[in-house]
Amino acid sequence: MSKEIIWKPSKDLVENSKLTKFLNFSKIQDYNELEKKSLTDPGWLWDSVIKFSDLKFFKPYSKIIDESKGIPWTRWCVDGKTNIVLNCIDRHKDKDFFKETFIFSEREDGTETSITYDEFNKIISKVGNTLKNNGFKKGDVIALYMPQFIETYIAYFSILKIGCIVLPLFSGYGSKAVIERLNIAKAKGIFTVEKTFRKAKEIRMFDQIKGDLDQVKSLEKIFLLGNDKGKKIFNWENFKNVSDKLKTEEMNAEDPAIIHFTSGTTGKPKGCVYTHIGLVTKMAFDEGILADFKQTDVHLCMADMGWMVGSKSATIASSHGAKMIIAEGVPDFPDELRFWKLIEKYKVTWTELSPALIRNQMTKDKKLFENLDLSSLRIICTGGEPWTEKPWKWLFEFIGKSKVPIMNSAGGTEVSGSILHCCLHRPFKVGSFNAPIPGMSADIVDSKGKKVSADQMGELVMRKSSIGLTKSLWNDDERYIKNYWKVIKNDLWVHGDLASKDKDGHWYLHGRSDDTIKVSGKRIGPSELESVIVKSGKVKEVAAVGVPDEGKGSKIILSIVPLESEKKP
Amino acid sequence: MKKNLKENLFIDLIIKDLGKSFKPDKVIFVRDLPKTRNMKIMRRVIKSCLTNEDPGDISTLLNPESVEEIKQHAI
Repeated sequence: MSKEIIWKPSKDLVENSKLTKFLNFSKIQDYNELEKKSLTDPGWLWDSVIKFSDLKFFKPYSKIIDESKGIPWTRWCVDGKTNIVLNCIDRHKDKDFFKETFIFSEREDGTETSITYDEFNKIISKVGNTLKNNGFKKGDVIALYMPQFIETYIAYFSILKIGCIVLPLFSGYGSKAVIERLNIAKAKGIFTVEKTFRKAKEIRMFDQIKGDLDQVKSLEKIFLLGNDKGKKIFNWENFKNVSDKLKTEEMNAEDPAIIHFTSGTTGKPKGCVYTHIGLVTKMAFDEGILADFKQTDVHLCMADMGWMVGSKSATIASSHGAKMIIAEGVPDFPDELRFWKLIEKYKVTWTELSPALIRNQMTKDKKLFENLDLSSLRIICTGGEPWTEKPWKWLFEFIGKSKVPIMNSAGGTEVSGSILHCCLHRPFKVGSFNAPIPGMSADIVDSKGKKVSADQMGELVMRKSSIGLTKSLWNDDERYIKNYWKVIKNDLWVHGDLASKDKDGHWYLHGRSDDTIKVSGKRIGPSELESVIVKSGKVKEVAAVGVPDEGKGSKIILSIVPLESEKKP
Repeated sequence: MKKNLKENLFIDLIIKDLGKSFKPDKVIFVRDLPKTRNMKIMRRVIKSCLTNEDPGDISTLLNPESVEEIKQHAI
């Protein structure tokens, strides 16, 4: 990739950025000083982020950071009481925008709906009350297996409001993937839908898993948006006649709030645990301060709620009191240019997208774009997989007219946000990350843990915990330490990505350093694929690998050694 | 390219259990997979063979001959 500077922020942009306001608020000279101070004193940074973003607590914390049990077991906001819903919904109640739209939703058939913050607050109280009436208590796990509907967000925040733990699952998963995750998390409830549409194909989501749900012994209730009836099923319309008054549950700042599963090379999926204060603070910093997200922004991201970016989107817009656009289906159907037309129609200002989408869109006829007005866009965030030069340039030059910064970032489910990003105060290069995120103590080392020199490839590591970092792994402290904190040496977090840094301090990613596979940004472990094949009883051995693919980033190839009996004709 | 029946059988299993997003692009059938002496399958070696890259030092493998067969399936 070209290593030339391609874009420099204007003086005006720098001066008006939230980053500048944050630096002034924190009495810091510039980004360099912020990086340095955060490295030696991460507690200071996160405390400053919480104060600048005016995050609320039922009871204030006595101490921002406590490393006394060792770095992997760092505690944040000790003694503090809060709830994500307090910061994403409740605290907006006296604001003018509370009566305005929170979510605009488009179904694949073009049906439009929307909901205001006020209406949203009432309905999550109704659903929360119903959950309580059905015996759900603080700490119970409730899963979501839903497409991008407003109801998905309602379920998400209702669960959090009563102090239950929400487990969003990728809506494209097959039954085995869903059942396995429900069992690991011992889910007591699940919200799902009868059907959704994807490229005009009706997908009967509930039917796909219905027959297998009895394999989940912990499951007591199914909340269904749709007509199916049954013993455990609670139908959505029954939420109507319930009280819309409900006090948000006071949670310890680090009580688990959300579980997102991710995949490693071996073993079962790993449950990353986000806390009530962790995700919202990390988002306030990564997106609010560093990616300049404001209350006046209109947010669009088409990612599924089942991935970390789903929780990111839900939190970014709501914690700022902004508007967000959600859409059922895919970005290029029924209109090839659907994604851009959503931007035009809703005057989207801030979007998050994947390089895979751009590789798909850049092949379209340029004439189709001629009358499109994308002038509302001011920030394009990207992530999920490494960029290549052509699609990056197409997005920057053709879509953004060389004016809209492409805020490339890299992180992962484990950190509930980014480790590397693009700082709006520094020049940009094609596909690079021009800065590490302060407070993440990022570095690149060789297999012995020694810092690599400029342009050398090595393991992306972190030397400290951060407020958004997964609180261990769901019910698996041992694996948390073994998989991340002891790979090279004690107390060094190995992230599993290959990275390098050039002499100007620009960082680059080069794919996974382990055997996990990323298809269009979706991570899956080879063992999960292999176990499906082994289970068939028809093979002796199987190995799943990902090889580079122009469209999807990587594609899956299975190498199979058939059983002796299978070889014979 | 038309895929044979057996290949499709395994592809369909993945789609049903894990979802369409994880549909394998290709299934290859071989006699053996490269392994270390403690029987760990070397996915990295398989990957290099499939992408026509140098698999590195394979002399420590239990069955270095398995590499040649996989190379024939390179894409």
